[in-house]
Amino acid sequence: MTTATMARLVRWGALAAGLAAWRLSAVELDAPVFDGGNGLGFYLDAARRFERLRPDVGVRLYGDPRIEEKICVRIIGGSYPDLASAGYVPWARLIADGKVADLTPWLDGPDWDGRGRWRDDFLPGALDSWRIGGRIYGLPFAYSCWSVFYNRGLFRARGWREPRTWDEFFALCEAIRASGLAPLSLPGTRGLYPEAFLRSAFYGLAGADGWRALNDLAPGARTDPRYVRAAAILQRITTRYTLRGWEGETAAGAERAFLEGRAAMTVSGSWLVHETRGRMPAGFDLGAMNFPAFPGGAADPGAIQTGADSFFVFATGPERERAAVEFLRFLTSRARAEAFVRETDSPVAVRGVPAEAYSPRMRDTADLIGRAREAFNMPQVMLQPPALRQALGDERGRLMSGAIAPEEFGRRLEAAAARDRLRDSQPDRVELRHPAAGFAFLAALAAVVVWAIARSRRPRRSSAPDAGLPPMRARAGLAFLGPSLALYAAAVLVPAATAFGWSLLRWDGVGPRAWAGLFHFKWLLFESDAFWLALGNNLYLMFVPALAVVPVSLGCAALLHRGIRGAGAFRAIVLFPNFLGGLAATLLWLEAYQPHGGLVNAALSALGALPGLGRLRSFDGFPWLAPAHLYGALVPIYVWMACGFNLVLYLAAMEGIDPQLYEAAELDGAPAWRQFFLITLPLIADTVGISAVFLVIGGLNAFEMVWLLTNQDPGAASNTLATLLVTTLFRDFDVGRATALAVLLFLMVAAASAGVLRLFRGEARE
Amino acid sequence: MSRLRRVSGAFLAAYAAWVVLPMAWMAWSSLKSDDEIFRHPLALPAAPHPENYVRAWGEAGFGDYLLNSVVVTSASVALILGLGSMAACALARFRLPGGRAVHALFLAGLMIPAQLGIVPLFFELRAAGLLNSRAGLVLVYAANGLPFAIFVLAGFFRSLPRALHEAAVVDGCGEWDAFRLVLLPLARPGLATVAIFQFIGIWKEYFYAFMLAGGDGAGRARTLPLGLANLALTAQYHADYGTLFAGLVLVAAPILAVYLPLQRRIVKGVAAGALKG
Repeated sequence: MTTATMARLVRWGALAAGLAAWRLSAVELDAPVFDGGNGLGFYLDAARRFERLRPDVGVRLYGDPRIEEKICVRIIGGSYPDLASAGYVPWARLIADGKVADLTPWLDGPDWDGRGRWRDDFLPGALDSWRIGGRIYGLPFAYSCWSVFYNRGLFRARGWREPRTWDEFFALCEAIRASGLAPLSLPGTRGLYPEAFLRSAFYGLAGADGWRALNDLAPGARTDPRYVRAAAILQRITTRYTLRGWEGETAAGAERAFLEGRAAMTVSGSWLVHETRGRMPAGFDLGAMNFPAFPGGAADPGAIQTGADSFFVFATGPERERAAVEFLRFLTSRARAEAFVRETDSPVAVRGVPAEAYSPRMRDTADLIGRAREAFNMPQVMLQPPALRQALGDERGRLMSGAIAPEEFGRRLEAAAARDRLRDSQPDRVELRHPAAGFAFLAALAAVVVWAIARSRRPRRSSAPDAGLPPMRARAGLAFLGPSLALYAAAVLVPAATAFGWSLLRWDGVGPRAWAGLFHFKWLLFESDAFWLALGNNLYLMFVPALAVVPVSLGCAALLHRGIRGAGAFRAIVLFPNFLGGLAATLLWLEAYQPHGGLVNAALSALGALPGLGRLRSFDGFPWLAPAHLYGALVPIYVWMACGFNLVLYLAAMEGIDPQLYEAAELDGAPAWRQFFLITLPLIADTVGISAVFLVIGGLNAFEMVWLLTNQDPGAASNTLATLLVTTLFRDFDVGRATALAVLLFLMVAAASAGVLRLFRGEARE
Repeated sequence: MSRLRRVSGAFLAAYAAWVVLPMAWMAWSSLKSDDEIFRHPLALPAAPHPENYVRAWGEAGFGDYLLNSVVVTSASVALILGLGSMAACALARFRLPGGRAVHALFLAGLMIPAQLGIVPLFFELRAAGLLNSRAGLVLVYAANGLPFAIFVLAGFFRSLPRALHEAAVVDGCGEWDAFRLVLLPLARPGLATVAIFQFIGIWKEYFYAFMLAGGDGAGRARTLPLGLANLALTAQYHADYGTLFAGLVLVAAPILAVYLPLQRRIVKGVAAGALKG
């Protein structure tokens, strides 16, 4: 404690004579919390109760499903909240930099109820998630246990038994499949879920020591035969025993298929029970069992795979830290823990909650947790270094689809881990992986700029556009332009310029900033695979949808132009999706693309009932949102949204054409299609060109659709430059690299626009 | 000719049906129970479930979000039109030292990705006490709308006959009067275009709303897209699809209500703006 604080304490002590002794001064805690399946209700209620007990402390608790990004923005700006609970925040870096308070001393102190040491109140292993260097930084609260959920009624009816070993498990899967049912419904778009099989199998083979080596990134841990064998188990499950279309299934969709009885089992954390509350079909008997074991494996067969939502206290000064810890002690009191279980029907990391607090549907899980003598924590996503995290997501998908063998999977992860280690030891190195592409990019950029400038110079000299205009007095100029310029500078230019400056820094958003020069640009253009994959996707989005949108809108416009009944209504209908907006349209299509029960597959298989269209029935259960089909699935959304707008443009241009031209052609006996190509198209070429530019620039900036359709977690092969920018900024926390990416994006859009504008202006003048 | 007409009529009808189908699906799903939505996707609701709308309006807060969206969008569009027309007029119809540079500066704004400046912007607003407020969101939308407005309106002002303006100046009109009495009324189609584009763009804007107005509890500045996205993202964890579809309809309905009566003008505005630009 500093002398200043001491002095303040003394002063306050004098002032507050007569008040309770613990009343130091009013503190308001700023507490952003992730709002997921459990909702915020419980936490808000706990905050109000705590405020009643400690009137000098306010707890301003709030949250939403994307709270991480807001916390990240504040961290980059150096203004920290007091406590927080959220997943995708670079906790490891914050901890390493001393921004997160060490909870160990508090945990050695008394708990809220006075039962004993605070640390003894937690379930075995629960405090290990955020134990770094012997100190504990994250306090677990909402707890979960991964398990295999099964349809107990179905199992009973068919005489299937809970398997104990992997051999029994695979025999069961064969039996289920033989009965004509899918053994498992899995969410392919959330790789973390099916990966639970791999994690559990590996822990069973390697035990606690092997698990630790894996998570400490020990060299060779991923090419270890035990890891490869566990990967083979995952591959065997996903390639043989899954419900059709699982690759494109979301977590909620996989749950739904399981509840509808399309599959006998699914895998999930215990939150499944809460998530399906109120939606479970009448009479559905939900069973939960632990993952199978290896006879004679290194781990206890009862060991459970767990996870916890942890709270972190920021190092915001002793007074605020104490208040935050005080709130957390209250939160983990026996009464609050039990209330949490009763309200959310979800396990809690605190011991001593009576079994009857759980609903009957949660009893299996509660038993698993109660019986477990060993627990292993799912590795924290944000503790993994960037190359490995990305590789795990990408290669896991390939492993599960059978594209690569388990050995290759291990080798690729090991190579990614090696890249991370190399990056740490040689931060300035740029490996020339894409020399040709990098130089071609720079050359193309330079060529467009030179060409645009050269084209523009000629006409400009001949006639200055503002020659002959009346001059404006300076004061009037200020009045006309000043407000716009001030607002625009403050909200657009200054922030953008600031961010551009960051592209020259090496800065993780937390620690000190260092000069990096052009390092990030070199790295992105010459070494990064992710940049080139994303640029490839942007090129696809710039041209492929345009190839569909332009002909379709042109065709419709031409037909409407020649006069047809109901043209007004048609125009209104096709323009409407454009007004709906990218967000709403994407959400609508996200549901329409569900493999089972979504509009697209339902409509296609219904059409398949018509004679001659029988092939369409094979679309039943087609995984549109699987990474392999995602970009194909984007084209219809583009066409749906963009055609109306383009059609209106083309039609307006066509209406400006002199009708005499058509009359003359009619006299010459030219058929309608010839008139279109000889008269219409050449005369509206400018408009078509402009609309194509809109589409191309839209493709370069594409963000919302891909972001939402990939569950906000795009794989490297699904990224666009804009989604890569956001993940680099908010997941990797590499501010310099993210802003360098933004600069490249800006340069590309600017070059493309300038080039195209010059092209059109130049032609118009000549 | 009549065969061509029949074939083309059939093609257009099929295309229109394809465009309508997802919207119709959205509308009828919003009246179904969660179970029905995915079990019988093509069927009409067995019994209508209007409580989806009650939930979306009340619990999910769409009533408040709608009000916020209306206020924020109207104020932003008004600000864009006011400031944008003045700036465009000065840049297009008057000789001004550095005018061309300022014009270029504004046009550059069309190319800056929104994600880029978000971190500095967040702290600017916070310092000004405008975070999570409708006023803050309005200022940001207005600033971001100015480049487009100036781009389109400058084109309009430039296309007006020069003689008119010169006559006004000869008659002794100051810049302000020339702008207000002569030029602005003539640029009305341009203003309509900008208003339509900006209204639609801001009405559906999500990223800034999420970052700058979504936080800190009360949600007094949350707009409809934000409410919709929160509903959809929460649906990942706790599926409530009936409410989600009802929310989608509630977002679409006001646009439809504005669009249908003004259809002709909007179509003209869209075309005029894009062609002049």
